[in-house]
Amino acid sequence: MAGARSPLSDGLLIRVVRASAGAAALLGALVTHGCASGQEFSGPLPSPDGDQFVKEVYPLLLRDCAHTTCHGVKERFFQLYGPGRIRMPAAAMGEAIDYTDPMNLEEVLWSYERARSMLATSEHIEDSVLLNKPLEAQAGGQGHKGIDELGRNVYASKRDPGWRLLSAWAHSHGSPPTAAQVRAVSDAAASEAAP
Amino acid sequence: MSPAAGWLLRVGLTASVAFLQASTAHAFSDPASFQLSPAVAGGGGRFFTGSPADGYTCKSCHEGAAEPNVSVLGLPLAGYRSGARYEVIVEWPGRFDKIALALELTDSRGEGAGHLRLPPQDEVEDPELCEPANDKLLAAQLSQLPGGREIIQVPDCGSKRVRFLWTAPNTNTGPVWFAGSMVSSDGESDPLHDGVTDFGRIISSTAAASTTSAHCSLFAARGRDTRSPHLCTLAALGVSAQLLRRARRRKRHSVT
Repeated sequence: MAGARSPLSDGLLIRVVRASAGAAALLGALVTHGCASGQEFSGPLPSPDGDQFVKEVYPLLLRDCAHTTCHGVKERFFQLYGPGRIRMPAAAMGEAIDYTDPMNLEEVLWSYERARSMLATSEHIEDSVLLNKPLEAQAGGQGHKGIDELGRNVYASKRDPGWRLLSAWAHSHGSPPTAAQVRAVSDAAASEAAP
Repeated sequence: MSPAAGWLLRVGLTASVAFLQASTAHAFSDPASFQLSPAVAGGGGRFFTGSPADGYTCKSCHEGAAEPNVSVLGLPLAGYRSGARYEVIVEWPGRFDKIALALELTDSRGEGAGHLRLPPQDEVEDPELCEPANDKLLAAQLSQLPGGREIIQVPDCGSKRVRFLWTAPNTNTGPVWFAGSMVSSDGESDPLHDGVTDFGRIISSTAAASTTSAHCSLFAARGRDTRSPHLCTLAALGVSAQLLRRARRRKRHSVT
């Protein structure tokens, strides 16, 4: 489906998605930060590396966070779209996409902006929601509804490879993901999955 | 209550019983997809068994229907013997025709505990086959992962139960966690209107074996068990090996 319509080259659609995601991100940042600390957020959002996001962070978020009843639902501000998870609505995509269709730029950009907005903090980025929420409280994290069946948070400590990856990305700088980056990762994954 | 105790309470309230899931989880209806990259709709290495290795279950995605019932037979509820073999059966009512599940046995750190084995082709029984049963295609699939983890998965293909042989760890690794999750799908290719049942049991490492396994082993030893002679014979050999080791230990002690 994605290949047929070539959504990666749909600049207008991408701009719409990015604009809406950015606005929602800022609003979410204000809300979440205000709720957490009673302080207002001001200043620019971080601009972490888009290439690393596509290659490493996006798959991690799909694996650990984007489950349908977790951060796949629209009721959560930190909402993620992706293959095998909730897909972006047809109204935003321009056409309906199937559950197993390949990753696409629109969904990656949406997820990037939502993740990026979770880095909003008035002080150290280690205090951001993206790094604190999935971390076990005993390791310095905070409460999170997304505990597993054993009552454990997503990452047991800051030594967890998943948390370390998130932290490294949070401290990075770069541009948002591009269509070429998304296509390269998608093709590589499809090649690995081929029998 | 500790998280582990809570988990135990949830899964262990009914003695030898468990649960079920259901859903033609699109991407996840094929067991192989759990190991694929999320970029191609895979699980990224998550199998959603609810074990210490992966505490999430099918409930992470599937919801919206009643939890189906499942029975688990053959676990050594009174404790496993190191190196012993147990035939375990997980079965679900026939009225659920769209069932998929994943299960595993690990230690408390999430590393594989012992080994799993599916029945050989000549011992597979009809309820364990995908439909149509004439094709003789065993529904269950066994995946071996790094770290010694072994996952048994049953895709939605019409089978009614899964049967496997668990060889307990040769050394005492402490309590073993039997954990699994099942989905009963409504047949739609989405995670909605599906029922999920998580099931599990923490098995201690005491010396006593379960009644079921002892029964199986005893009958196999006497040549009376015709249901699964191969598996029961293996179980009997496991028990015999245990008895032999214990006899040797006693002999050593008596000498010294």
